This record gives sequence, structure tokens and C-alpha cells, in this order.
Amino acid sequence: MTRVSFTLNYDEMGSWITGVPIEIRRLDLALVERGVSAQQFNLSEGNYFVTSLLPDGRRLFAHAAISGREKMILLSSDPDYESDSNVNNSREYLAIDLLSQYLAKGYAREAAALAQWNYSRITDSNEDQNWVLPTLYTLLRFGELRELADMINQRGQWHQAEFTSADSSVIRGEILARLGRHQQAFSAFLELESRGVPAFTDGLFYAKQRLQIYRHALEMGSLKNEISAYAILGRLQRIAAYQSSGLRIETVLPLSIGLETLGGIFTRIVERNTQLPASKSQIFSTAVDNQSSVEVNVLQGERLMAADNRSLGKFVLREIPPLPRGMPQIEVRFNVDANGVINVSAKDLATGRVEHSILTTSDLSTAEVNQLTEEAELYSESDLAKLKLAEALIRIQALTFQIRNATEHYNLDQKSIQNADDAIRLAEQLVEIDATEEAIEILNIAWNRLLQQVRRIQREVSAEGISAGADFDSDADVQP
Amino acid sequence: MTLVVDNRDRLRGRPGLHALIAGVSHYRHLPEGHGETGTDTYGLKQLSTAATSAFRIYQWLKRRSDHLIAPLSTARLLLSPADEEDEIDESVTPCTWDNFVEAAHEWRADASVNKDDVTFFYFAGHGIIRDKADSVLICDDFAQPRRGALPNVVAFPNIFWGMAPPADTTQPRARRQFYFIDACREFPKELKDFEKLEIQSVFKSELSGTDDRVAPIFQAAISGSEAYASAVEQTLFSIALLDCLNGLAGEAGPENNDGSIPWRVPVFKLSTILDERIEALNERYKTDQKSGLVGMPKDIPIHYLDGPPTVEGTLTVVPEDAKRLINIDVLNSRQSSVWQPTLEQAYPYQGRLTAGSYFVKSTIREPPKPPYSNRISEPKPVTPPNFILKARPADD
Repeated sequence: MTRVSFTLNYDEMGSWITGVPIEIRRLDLALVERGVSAQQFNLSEGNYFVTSLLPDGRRLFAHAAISGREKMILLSSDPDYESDSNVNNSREYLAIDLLSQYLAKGYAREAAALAQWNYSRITDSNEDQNWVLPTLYTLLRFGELRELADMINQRGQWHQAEFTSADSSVIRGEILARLGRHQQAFSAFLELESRGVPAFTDGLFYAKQRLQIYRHALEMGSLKNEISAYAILGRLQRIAAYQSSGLRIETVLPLSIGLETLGGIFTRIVERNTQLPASKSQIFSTAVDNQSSVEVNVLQGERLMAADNRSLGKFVLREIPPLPRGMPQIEVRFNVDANGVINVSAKDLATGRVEHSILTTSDLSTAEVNQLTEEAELYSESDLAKLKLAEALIRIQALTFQIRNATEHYNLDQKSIQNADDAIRLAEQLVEIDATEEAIEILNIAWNRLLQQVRRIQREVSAEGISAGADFDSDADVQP
Repeated sequence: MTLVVDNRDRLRGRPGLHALIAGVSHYRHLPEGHGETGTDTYGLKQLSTAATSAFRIYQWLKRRSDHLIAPLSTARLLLSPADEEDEIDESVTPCTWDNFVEAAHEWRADASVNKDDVTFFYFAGHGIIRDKADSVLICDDFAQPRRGALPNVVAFPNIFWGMAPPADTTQPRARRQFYFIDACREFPKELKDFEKLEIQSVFKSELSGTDDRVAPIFQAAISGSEAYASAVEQTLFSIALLDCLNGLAGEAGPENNDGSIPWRVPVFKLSTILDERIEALNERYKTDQKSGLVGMPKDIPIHYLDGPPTVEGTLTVVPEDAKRLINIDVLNSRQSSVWQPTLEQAYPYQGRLTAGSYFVKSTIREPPKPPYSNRISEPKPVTPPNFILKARPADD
């Protein structure tokens, strides 16, 4: 037998490539060996074909005549295929890139071979999760159950990266589930509650499908019920519902997210194509006096009005102390992670009270995202008209509120009150015939007249050392 | 009649393959169907070749019965053909939900006798998803009026997990399971406002025992995309699948004890070549279908070929100018001439060779003497799906 090792043509592939999947066949094409070029193979004397398929379609090839004790074989581009392949910059082929690229191309055999070899090289000094976790996920996809069992049973100590991440919980959970150790697997998946969402699409996929099964098993009583486990599973399952077909999850937000504000307007908080993870916040307030709760309707889409976009979920912030409209300050924060999972929180800055909800971005294909974006462009004119109308109505509502508030709270003369009432009625009639601009004009005039009186009264009251008890802004906030 | 092949007695005690094949072209409750039109049809229309595609897969299984990874033991066939699919016998059981459930339970029972058995599942018809990992198979009586949002559909994950090895080891379920889902995997806009619609289960869910299955799922369409069909032939996936099974995805395995070399179609090669074949069909039909491999795949064979398959490919001359100055001879491993491309043929030369290793011999014509000399190449492998050979006369 001859001990055979391989070397790659480094001019073609870059010196940091340590191994590519290879196949060794006799000249009658009988399969002799499969593995990775960095391994050593023992071959009997004879002639062999050695081939390797790279993710960019290039083939490496060697016709090897084997004799003697040791042989080094140079693997180089197959000249018969070189003009037919689309050669990329080969220096991109770092070990883990190579695995990702094989997976992206759907080259299962090559990915499986590379992952098995990678796994044999995992040591405690491998600190890069980007290297270890994809290897383990690929083994989950293509590996033998006994290899997976070995990860659990014989591998005494897992690397730090494997232990502490949400992905490690999923990997252990999935292996245990395949071994039929469901109670242990269930516990591993429950660790996600504290560890967060897996960073890899495969992790979300496994979490989702197992959690679905375990939810059902809890209902049927085939799993030991733990306090709150059912609720945790439900939440995790919804989170895990977001997953895509690649190994890594997209890191750009495909469509804007935001919330519905007064008048049915979609107020964007995180714009589309924002690099993820992202965190953005905005301050909102209440729409009426003494409003004790606000509903946060989280939306995704590119249209200007809330009703034309997709609602991702709603939640309510309660127990807002009674204050005049516009006074409470409610910070709404969107934390969007790399998986498109949104942690939305609404915080009353006065009391510190917080409500939050974990939502996932819409389950849309690229084609659907493109379609929605195109629709937004198509309807941009009519959407803008709707938006202007909504803003005008908000302005009318705010002016009407201010006028009524002034007539109720200040000792105004009867003629001014009558004029103000007349203006409101006229404005209402104008709104009915869609003459919103004219309605605003009428109300503005009425308000400015009242404002002069109100300021005079305030000055007088102030001079008497008594607080007026109300404050007025000439512009109302847009409120949820 | 659902059970169209029954070799259980003949194969008793030996591993066999149990097939469940379904194809739905005619949907009775969709517009232009033969039944009352439903209200929640999600824009789905009648199909024209799904039943034929399923039927061709069944015919292939029957024809290659003794060349499968295990001989065909049972086949259950559910077909709902369109009126124009007259190749299909009217006596075939339609793929209604009830019929599907009954056939699926019988199929699972047959596959729960010997763990060395094999299962083969193929569905062609409409499909949707409720989330990215999902696959919902739509039966003939889908959209039945007054039956809720998603009546008479099958959640494929329920089939996949329902076929997992049971914790009860007295039921030795087949450990090699092949699934082929030839259906669209798009998310209907109408379902976006629902959290995730529950679907009536085919199998009762239970926690599995040790799940050491080899269970690849070949999906005609990746999540969020469509699967297409040629209007007059079959689905693109079924065309590509049969091409691959018939040799396009063939490869030689390790030498047998008797010195023979088995040619087989293994899972991973099937997956890779299926993608490539669908890509080629996309170019022909101007479609954008993309298939995928999921489930629990391992690289085991699914079909054994009769021998080395025929491979199509091209031969070019390097440099191209030399083609008028040389004679080309393609020699097999015994140095016998098998192909002599001539100048009269279209260039690059198109040919068909039996898979094996070949030499390309370039011989200089006289006169005049060109700046090249005779040369015979090193051996080159010719393997499916196609070959590229080059004649390279040596520089003087």
C-alpha cells in the first residue's frame, strides 16, 4: 500500500485552504475512497482518478499513478473543464466559507464530507463559533445518528461556544430527540428561554419543528409538564417560525417596521434595508386626556397607511397615570435581531412601567417582498393623498379639542364661545364634503382668536398667583 | 382500487419497498371543477399534468421493481386526473382526503413489519406553506364549501413525523424512507392574517423512539417558491427525477465481492443532479424553479442501474484551429475506437459514450505538416451527467 497525500495548487486556491472534499476512483470508475484532501489515504498500486468539485463549479482533477511507499499528488483545475466554469476569486475559500458555499449550492455530499472532517478537528482551542456551530449543524443535517450520539455521549466536554449559545441548546436538544430521549431534549429546548434565539437558520428550523411536537406532547401528557413550559414553548415556537433556507440568516431588514399612530398612519421606526441587528426608539404620547392605556400595533410594510400593511402583533401598555393628552411620554423601542425577531417595548418614562412583545417579521419570500415594494410605488400617489387627509383630520381633531378645552376651562365671553362653536360646526360640515383645508383654516382662525383671550386670562391669573392648571401647545403630537 | 401492486406474499420475510403515490390535477371544488365551487380557493386553478406525473413515477417503480434498493412490495396509487389525462384508467382511486388517509394508514401498517423495509412517497399537485418549514399537500376535495379555511389538506410534517420509528419497538418501522414533494411551496396572501392554521392530522402524533431513519425529502420547490409543469407533458420535477433515476444521477459504487462494479443512483448525487436538471428545464421553459433536499438524508442508493449509463457530452479541439489538421479518435479503456468526430459534424462535437474511462487520440493529417504532432491523452473519466473531452495535439 502506498500512503497518499494531496496538495492543492495554491496559486489557484490560496494557501489557507486546508482541504477540499475529494473522491478517488479506479480507472474502471469503481469508488475507492471519499474524504477530504488534507487526509492521508492508503492506496494499492495502480492508476486512479482523483476528483473534487468546488462550489463555483470548478473541478479539480488528477490522474494518479500510485506506486512505492509514499506519494504526493497535486490537485489542480481540470483543464478539460476550466473554460466552462465560472471561476470566482478563489481566495474566498476559507474553511468555513467553503462549507457554507457547498450548503448554499446544495452540494450535500461535499458539505457532509467537509463537516465530518471539521468535526474531527474541533478542539477546546477552537474559539470561533462561526466555525464550530455550522459544522455541528451540517452533521445534524447529514450525519449518522451514531456520530451524533457520540457528540452527546463520548465527547466529555464541549467547547465553550457549543455550551453557552442558544444554538448549542438546539443542537443538543435535536440530538437527544433523535435518540428518543425526549424529556432531556425538551429541557434543552427550554434553555432557549434564557439563551435567546439561535443565530443559525437551521437552529430555528429544528427548534420550531421539535417545539411543535413537544407542545402537542404536553397536551397529551406524554411529556412531564413543567410550570409555564407550555407558554414558553408557544412563544419560542412563534420565534422559531422565522427561518429561511440558507445557513446564515439575512442581516438586512427586508421591509420597514413601525407602528400605527393616530389617524391610521403607519409610522416607520426601522426602515427597510437597515442592517440587522438594529435598535431604534421614538417617544409617543396619549391622544386624549386621562388615557390610561395605549395599544401598540406593530406593522411591517412600505405603504403609508397602517391598514395597507401587515400587522405583526399588538400589545397594550396599561396603568398610565391620568394626565392631559400629550403629556405622558411613552418610549417605544424596537430591537430587531439578526434573525428578524423584534423585541418591541413600550415604556412609560414617568413610571418606568414597561410592556414588551417578541414578534417575528413576516414570513415573506424575496418575490413577495419585491411585490410589496412595487405595490408601494404603484400606490404612492393615492397613499400620499390618504396620508394628507389623515394628517388634516388629526389637525382638525387637535384644533377642535383645543378650542373645546379652552371654552370649558377659561372664563371666556359668550360671544367668543358662540363663535368657537360655530367654527367647529362649520368645520364638521366642511369635513363631510372633504374640504379639510378649508376646515383647518376656519378652526385656525377661531383658535387664534381664542388664544389671544386665553393668554390674556393666563396673564391675569398668573398675576393673581393662581395656576391656570392647563397648558396648550399650538401643535398636537401624533399619538398612538 | 388503491392497492395496485401487492407482492407481500412473494417477498414475505424479505425487505420490500412500499410506495404511496398521489397525483391531483382535477380539483372538484376549484373553479371549473366538477363539484360545487368553494369560496376559499386562494386563487388555485385546475392542473393538467400532476396525475400523469404521479402515474409515470408509479410506472417507473413498477418497471424497475427489482432494481430498487428493495424490490417493490406494495404500491398504493391515488390519482385525480384532469379530463384530458386520458392515459389514466378511470378506475384509479381519486386522491380525496378520506382516500388519502385510508391509504396512508395502510401504507404505514405495511411499512411497520420489517425495519429493513423501504418506503417511497410521491405527491404531485397543489401545495402551499403556512411557514417556511412547512409543506401542505392539497387533496382533490380541497375547498369543500362550508368546511373551514383549509379543509381536506395534508400537513406533510405530520406524515414525516408519523413515519418516525415508534418508541414501541414491537413495531419495526422501515428505516429507509424516500419522500418526493412535487408541489408549490408558496404562502397564500389570504393566510397572512392567521397565526398558523391547524390542519386535521393524518397520523396521531406520538413521541418517537430512536430516530435512526435515512429519510431524505426531495422538494420540487424551496420555501416560498413555485413548482412548474410543462402543460402537455409532466411536472418539471417529475421529468428531472425520472431522468436522474434512469442514469443521469448514476455513479459507480465500490467494487462488489464478485468483482462487478455496481452502478447506482445515491441520494446526494440525485439531489445535486436533480438541481442541475431542473435548472436546464428552467432555461427551456423560462421558469425559475429551485429544488431542495431536507429531512434526514444520508448518501444511500435508491436505484441500481443495469450497468454504466450512456452519457452525453462534447469534444472540442485545443487549439480550435487544429481541428482541420487532425483526425480524432476516442478510445475506450481497451484502446478500441468508439467515436471518431469528423469535420462534417457540428462543432463542438456532440457525442454519447458509455460511462467509463477514455483516451482522446489526435493524429496529424498529411499534407501539409502542421505545427503539431500526434498525441494520445491521459485517461479521462466519462461519468453522468455529461462529459467534456478535449483533443490536444502536441505542439512540435
